[in-house]
Amino acid sequence: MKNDTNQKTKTVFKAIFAWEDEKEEKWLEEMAANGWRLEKVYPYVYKFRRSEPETIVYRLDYMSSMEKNYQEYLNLFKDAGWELLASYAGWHYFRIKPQNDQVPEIYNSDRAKAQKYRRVLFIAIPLFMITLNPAIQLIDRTVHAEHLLLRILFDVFFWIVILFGIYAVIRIWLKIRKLESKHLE
Amino acid sequence: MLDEKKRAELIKKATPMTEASFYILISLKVPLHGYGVMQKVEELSRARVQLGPGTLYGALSNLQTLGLIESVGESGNERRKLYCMTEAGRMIAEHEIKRFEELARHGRLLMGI
Repeated sequence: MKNDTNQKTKTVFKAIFAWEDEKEEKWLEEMAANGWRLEKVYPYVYKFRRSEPETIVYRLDYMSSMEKNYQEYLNLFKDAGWELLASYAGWHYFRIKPQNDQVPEIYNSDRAKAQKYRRVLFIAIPLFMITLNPAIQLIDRTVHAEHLLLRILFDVFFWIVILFGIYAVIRIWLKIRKLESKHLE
Repeated sequence: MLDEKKRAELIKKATPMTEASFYILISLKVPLHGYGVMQKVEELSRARVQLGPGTLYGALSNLQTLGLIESVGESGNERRKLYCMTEAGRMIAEHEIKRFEELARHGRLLMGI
């Protein structure tokens, strides 16, 4: 990252995972405070544009666009004053300029927020695995058994992806548990 | 109308309601859009209960699944839905009001206020 003040745009490559969304929100808010307004988001790629330093609240939400009431979902955010600046693979990047000292929230309770991670767990991760499956099979077929080294490399890659998937499920599950545990008597 | 068994089942499933859900439900005594609900709840609670769009969307879906509210039409070019309380929703709202009254009565009685 260069700190050239003449620079108009900045592209940052950053690996942030599904269970780190709050960290990501905070980072984007810090960027805005330093005069970098988020323009576009692609998986792990963030494009910023130079702006005046400003207080902006960023919030990430997960919602499948296949959802029956998806249009209604978008309308509710829009009517409440949230700007949708990007969405990919179900992740929605919303932002709002606070009108007073209060920090606007898209979820007011931990219980409601847990619903978001439930959607990530039961929609996003299975979808990811389903898309991954044909890719793995394709590589599997093209990598011949006689190429031992390729075979081993492929197996290692395969297991890394699987273990990573399991790790993601555990992290998100723990998050849900933590949010919902506050409501136990 | 619901028979006794279904009534008891619904009460068990739908209550106790969260503050947000209860406010949303009673706001829908008259048909409103999602944003109308947001404004109404803010007004009723004098801005104490602020409904974020994520919370509101989730609560509206849950209330619809429980059959306490229903979508009664759409309007505008972006097809904003109009919601309204159902007969079952009215029954649940009345049940909750009685419960809150009991809580308040006993609270006052034991606290001597």
